[in-house]
Amino acid sequence: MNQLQTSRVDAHPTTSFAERYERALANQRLSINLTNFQQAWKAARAEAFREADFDELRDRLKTVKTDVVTNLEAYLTQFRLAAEAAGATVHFAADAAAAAGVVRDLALRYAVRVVAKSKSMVSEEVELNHALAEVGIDAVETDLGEWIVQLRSERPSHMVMPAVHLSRQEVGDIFSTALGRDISREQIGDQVQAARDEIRKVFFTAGMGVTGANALVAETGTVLMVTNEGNGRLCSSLPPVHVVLAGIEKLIPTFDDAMVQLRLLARSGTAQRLTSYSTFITGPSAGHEMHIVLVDNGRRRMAAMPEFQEALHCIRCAACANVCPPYREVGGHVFGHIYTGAIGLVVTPFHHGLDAAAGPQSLCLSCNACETVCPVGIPLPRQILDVRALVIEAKGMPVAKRTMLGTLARPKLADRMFRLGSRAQLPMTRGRRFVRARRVPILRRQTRWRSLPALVSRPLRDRLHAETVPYLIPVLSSPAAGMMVGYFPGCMTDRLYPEQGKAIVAAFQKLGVRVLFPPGLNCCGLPANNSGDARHAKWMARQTIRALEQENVEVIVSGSASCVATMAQDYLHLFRHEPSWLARAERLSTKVMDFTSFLDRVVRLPAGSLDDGERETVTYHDSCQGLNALGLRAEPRRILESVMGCELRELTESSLCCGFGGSFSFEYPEVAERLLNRKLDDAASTGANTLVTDNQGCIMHLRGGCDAAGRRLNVWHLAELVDARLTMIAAAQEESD
Amino acid sequence: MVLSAEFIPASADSLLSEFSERAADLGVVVERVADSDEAAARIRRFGTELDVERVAVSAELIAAAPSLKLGLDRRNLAAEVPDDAARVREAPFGASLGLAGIAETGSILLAEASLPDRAIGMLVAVQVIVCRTATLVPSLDQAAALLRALAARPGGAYATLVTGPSRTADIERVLTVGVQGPARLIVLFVDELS
Ligand code: SF4
Ligand code: SF4
Repeated sequence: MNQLQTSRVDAHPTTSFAERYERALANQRLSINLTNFQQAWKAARAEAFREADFDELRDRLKTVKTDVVTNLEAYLTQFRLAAEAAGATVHFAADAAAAAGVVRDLALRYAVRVVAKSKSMVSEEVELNHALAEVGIDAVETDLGEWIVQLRSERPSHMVMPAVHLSRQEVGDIFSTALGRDISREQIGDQVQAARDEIRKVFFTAGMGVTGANALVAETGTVLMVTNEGNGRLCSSLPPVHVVLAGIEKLIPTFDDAMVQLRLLARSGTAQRLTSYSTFITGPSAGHEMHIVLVDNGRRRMAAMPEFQEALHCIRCAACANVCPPYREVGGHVFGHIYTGAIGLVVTPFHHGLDAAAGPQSLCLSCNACETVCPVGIPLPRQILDVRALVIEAKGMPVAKRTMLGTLARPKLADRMFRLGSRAQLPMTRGRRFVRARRVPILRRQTRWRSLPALVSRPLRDRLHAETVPYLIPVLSSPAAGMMVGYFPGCMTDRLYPEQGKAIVAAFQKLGVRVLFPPGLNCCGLPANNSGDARHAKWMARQTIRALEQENVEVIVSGSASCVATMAQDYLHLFRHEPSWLARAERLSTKVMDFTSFLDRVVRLPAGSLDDGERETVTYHDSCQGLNALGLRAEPRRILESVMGCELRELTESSLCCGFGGSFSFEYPEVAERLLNRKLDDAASTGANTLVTDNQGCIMHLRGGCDAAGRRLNVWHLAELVDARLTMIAAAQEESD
Repeated sequence: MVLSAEFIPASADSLLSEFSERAADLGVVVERVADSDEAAARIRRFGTELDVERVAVSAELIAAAPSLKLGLDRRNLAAEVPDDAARVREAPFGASLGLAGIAETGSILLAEASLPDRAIGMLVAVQVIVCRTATLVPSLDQAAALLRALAARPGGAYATLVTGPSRTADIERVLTVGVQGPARLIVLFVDELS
């Protein structure tokens, strides 16, 4: 056993967040390993859910877990009584030290020298190995991935696949060192065999087995534990004492509920129908002892905060990490703290403090991908922003960012600054639409790989009338003709891409839609909201609501999927404590609609009606807000393919974020650049010269990347294409008149 | 074990074919035989393939199917009931009794009370699970009822839904079987187990 005494006994990672970030970027293998993993997982998960209704299962489990969190104490009592009746001993631990202390004291009481551990995130959370090592007890991980990272004195970088960041060569190296003999660096089968032989010894020598729990079935006091390797069964059977470490939120009322969880967990975690071994343990085996340690460590605090309650529904499937773009680039040692991935960013403040969460949470670029795959429907992106707000409140914001947000929140000042900026940039742009990288000495890290867009001297607000009168006879007849809509441009359209705003208004005009452009429209507040600056976000939200309420219209359209998601969804959360504003935000949320949805659901152009017969080849990039927040997927494709007759060549990873993320691309330019290049490479491999999307942030990022790298790809907003086709039809009609 | 009869019983054939399909996805061999003697013949054949002279058999299986033991004896495959988990530590071949088959997932419910019995399925390299054909149920929802009944027994229970062999994908996501548990799983559904 001696050569295995490499228990990871360090407490929290001692390296700073900045160092871990740098180290992750320097590790070339890391993002290759994680990219392969994420791509394979996405495909396998989609396959696994083909025969199971994800939405239905998710809603069922969400209902169950909501009930559990609401009646936590009652279920805890029910579980405890039943488990005790079956012969187990139940302990409650208020915090990490108490939890580790209970296990340590039990180990001392039973004179245990070696503990065999099955994967348990709670044991990581409470630093159990550290507590045991302090009293000379060796805890050995028996899950293969956990064992690998333990030998490397690392923490798991992923909750389900602890060693996902490593290659077989790295595994071969560490095995050879730890076992003192040559283990293949190429043959994974040999590596697994070597690990099996070593770990099997542990099962037969350990005086105690420690496992986690995937669920605690309240009706019978049963512990549910799933493993694929079978090590959990051995840990809980062979040593004479079995200790279960579990968070109090792991309760589930009945076996029926447990089956719903199993179906979701296996498919979400490892894309299986069912994990190899789903074990239900009720009471100790004959002659053995069973202890169940139920850990609070911040969970009751979460349960008491409406913003964070739902995070207690988590079943630790790690799906949220598997779709996360920044996670792919930096891995779980950076994107999280013990708990990794999106949920890690949410729970870290409660288990490990705000300091531990500060760095990791800033890596979330609010792409919303995690929420779409979470099998219990946790509003992760929103909760991460709530964590960000707590961090900002406690630690403040960098001066430059604070100044920028403060300026945006003051429309008159912002207007002056933008106009000033459009003149000041002239030496750098020389009239071009880009501020080229090499001309910006101060932002080299941010702009070396991406040109920034120039501010226009005449923003859209100077070019639009308060009311745009439609064509008397629409170019194409549709149910939208005669309608009156409000138009919300958003600041990027206003200051950077007014031609996109003009295209939307012109398209409406040709479709017979009257467009109102109410005065007083400025930024919707998204930049502040995404920065955890709720105060300025609310200022801007109130301005926006007031301005839009001036017009008595049924529909307010915007060409920015991000602004729509902010107005329709984020405002409701911002005003959750202000009933009168909440009511106004709710009214607004029923009216705002993105341009693509309006075209698809309201205008409903018939197939072929915008077809120019050229069969233009295009590819489509799903903006994060369009796809993940607004749920647009079929809509833009219907318009491009069916209505416009384009040949749509899909990107391999159309749903992957382009890497913009607003201020993210300035704070983490290295990650933003990598994501951008992935997207541009993906687009290039389709062979299409035109990429279409529905969000100005993506357009800015993608065009900037093409300009800096000299790539030949035209990036258009869908509205620009649509209006161009309408213009052609109008011209043809005029000719024939 | 009494099943709650809330579901419309599907025919054994259709359950078996669903089970087999799902289990095949996991590399599990599924066979149906008429009786214990035929089961013994199959086990003997697998033993021959593995080139072993003995098979570790759970006490529960012997109790449920005494004639299976006779059949193995007659075919010169020594059926040994371990009295200690350490006995099967490196055993190549073992046989256990399944309590139910779940068609939805191709899983078998195991719930051996004694540790040595349980250790067979945790440690041997190749495991045969013998299960009555009539115990096949359509889905995990019926498994829930069975698990509840097991858990409610005095002193509780240790039950596992076994779905394929022991596996890992922890190194570069490459699927490797036989990490801590059996690398190969064979399920024998027996119509008349005696
Ligand atoms: S919103 Fe996007 S970046 Fe943020 S945690 Fe979720 S998947 Fe990751
Ligand atoms: S938050 Fe959701 S997706 Fe992430 S681990 Fe928990 S259950 Fe899975």
